[in-house]
Amino acid sequence: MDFKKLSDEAVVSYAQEHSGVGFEELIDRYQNQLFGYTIRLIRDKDLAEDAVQDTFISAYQNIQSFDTSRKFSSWIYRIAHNKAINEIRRHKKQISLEDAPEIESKENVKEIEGQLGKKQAREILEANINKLNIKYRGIIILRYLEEKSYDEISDILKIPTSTVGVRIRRGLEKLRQSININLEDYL
Amino acid sequence: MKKDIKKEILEQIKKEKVKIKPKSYFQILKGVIYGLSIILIVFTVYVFNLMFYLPSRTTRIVERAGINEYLSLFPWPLIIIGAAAIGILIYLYRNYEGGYKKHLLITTLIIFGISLIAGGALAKSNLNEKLEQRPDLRRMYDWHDDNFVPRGPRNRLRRIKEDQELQELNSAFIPKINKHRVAAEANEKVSEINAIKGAQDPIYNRPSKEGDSGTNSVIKAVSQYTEELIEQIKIKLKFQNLKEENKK
Repeated sequence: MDFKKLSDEAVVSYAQEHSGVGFEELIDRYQNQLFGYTIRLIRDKDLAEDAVQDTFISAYQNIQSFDTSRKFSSWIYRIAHNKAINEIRRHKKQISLEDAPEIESKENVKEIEGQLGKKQAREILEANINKLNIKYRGIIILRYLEEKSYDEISDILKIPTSTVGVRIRRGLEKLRQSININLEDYL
Repeated sequence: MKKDIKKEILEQIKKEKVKIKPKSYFQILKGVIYGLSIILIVFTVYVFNLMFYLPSRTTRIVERAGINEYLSLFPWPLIIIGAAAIGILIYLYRNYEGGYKKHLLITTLIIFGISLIAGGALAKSNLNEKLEQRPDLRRMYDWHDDNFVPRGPRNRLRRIKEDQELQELNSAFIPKINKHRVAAEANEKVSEINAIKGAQDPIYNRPSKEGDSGTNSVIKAVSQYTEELIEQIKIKLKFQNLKEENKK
């Protein structure tokens, strides 16, 4: 069976029906992506590796629970996100969840994204992303480094799409504050 | 990556340390979650129904109404129970049915609104009256009256209930009283005739005995009725004693 030509969901479907056959292909497709995400989130190579390994083991065990009508990447990222958060909590890494009330304003987010441009935004983000707290770090990584859509981020973090917009805006604002930069210089 | 994660995972799988959970496991889990959700929905609607029904029922029974009376009779603990049930429902909906896509406040308002409307509609129907007649559920309604109705209305409510119980008891005895009275009167008449004619007793279809006069039949019937009545009063007293002991 040539899994290379199949979509993620088709491979999962095959794995569900054939006792996990094809799961290797999913590991090949996602191990680097997930490692990239978890290492940015945890900021510890060993812990990130553990988180990725745990992610795949958990995905393998629960493969039958995956609904093939949904997107596999969101599902596996969701597991990886949870594993990474668990690793952070277990090792008491920097978590400062800010529970400030959120005001929904999608327009502002799109305005900032438009002003920055993707390349410049990536440059700023890569350099300063580690200074953000976990709540905003995860969402900024997913949006600008993993290039996930609002809907996918909503599925990964299990938050409303409108909240995704709000958090991205706030994350960007915090990034700007943290590097003490005027956005106008980049434009 | 330093570690070969793929190799490690595959090794673990081959050694049977990691097994795929069967599909039936997730189907059962889903069934349990849906079942629990249905139970919670029914329970929440019933609790909201009680919030409407119980105060209005008490004001109706004690024949006093008005917003202050209604508020004083409101079953506040039910709000906590209802809120807890709604909280669990929201948790299940957000975690298992993609409810996280909607804002928490909107989800809460929708579930709360639906429960409120359905509960209100249920309270307007005659379902509570029917349920209250069931012995097992009647205890629950009585428990509410004994614990959550303020002292003044509670005393009035208790007196009214006791009167109702007595009425029920009496209504059960009235046919018996009549039956005995009719039988005794008929017996007396027949005995009078028998005394003259020396014939058999047609009512009880037994041969007349010597000295079985009409007066004796009346005495027999009345004493039989009195014995039954005393027995019932004993039962009632026993029941009341048990109730008082339980309260203590």
